[in-house]
Amino acid sequence: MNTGGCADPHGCEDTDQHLYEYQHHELTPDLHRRIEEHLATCAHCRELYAEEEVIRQRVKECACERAPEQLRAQVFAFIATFRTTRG
Amino acid sequence: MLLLDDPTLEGVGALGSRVMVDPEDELATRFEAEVIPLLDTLYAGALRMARNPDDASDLVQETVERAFKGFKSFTPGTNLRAWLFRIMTNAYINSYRKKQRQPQQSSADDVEDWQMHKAASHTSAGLRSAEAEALDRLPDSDVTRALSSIGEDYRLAVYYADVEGFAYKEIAEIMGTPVGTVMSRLHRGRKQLRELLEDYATERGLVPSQGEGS
Repeated sequence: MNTGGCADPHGCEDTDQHLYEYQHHELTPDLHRRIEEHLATCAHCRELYAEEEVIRQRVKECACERAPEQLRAQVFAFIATFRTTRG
Repeated sequence: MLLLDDPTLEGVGALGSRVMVDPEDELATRFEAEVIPLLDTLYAGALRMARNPDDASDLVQETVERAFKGFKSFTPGTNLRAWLFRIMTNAYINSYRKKQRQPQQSSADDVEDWQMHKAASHTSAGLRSAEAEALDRLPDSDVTRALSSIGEDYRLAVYYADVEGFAYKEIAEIMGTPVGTVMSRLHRGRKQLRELLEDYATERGLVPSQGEGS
């Protein structure tokens, strides 16, 4: 693995392997901190991570379509059929 | 493979009863107050499964109906969104996907595979910055296109983690798989997504072409 001449290639490997878990805050505090420290010192992994952050952000922004009005109306209508005292 | 309780088992009952203060009414009111605000979320999730607006709407409608019938068994204070997505997953698997007979995108979920993965094709730091820039400038339609191009299990894992922000354990419950499988799906899904987005960025000339190969 090309680590861009990083002084801590093990850190690069750990980061590569756990990048998503790190991003999703799923690591043990210990490993999370280790990767955080590695990112602080390794420009190569930091850039990789920045790109993954962009991707996550883009997915988050783009995959949040609004429910069509017709669906909304259908759901309201469905719930209304279960009401006995109101409409 | 879904080991989940079927939330639709509990009957609705009391339909058409003439009681003045009907507990069903209260239930309907509470359901409406809590579920309607999640409609957009459910619809976006349904689009990741059904991948076209009509089917996604149908899936949401079916999810809402199932959820309403099972709402009495929902424990207030627990994660309603996760509960609804579990119902939607079941609805999708049990009725929609069977009907649709989509070629099943297999996603051999062996965890070892991604664990052995080593980052490929690292080039200069300068290019990577440009790459982040390029990814950021892709049109939204490219992002949704990439998302709908990857395998279904990958797509949903990515959606639950990156859009919904569910914990891996919650995703495992929703998808009815071990957490290790969720991690594997996320890894593969995100890697594939990245590759596609990089391809799109290159096609659009957003990335300065940097030699050929890898």
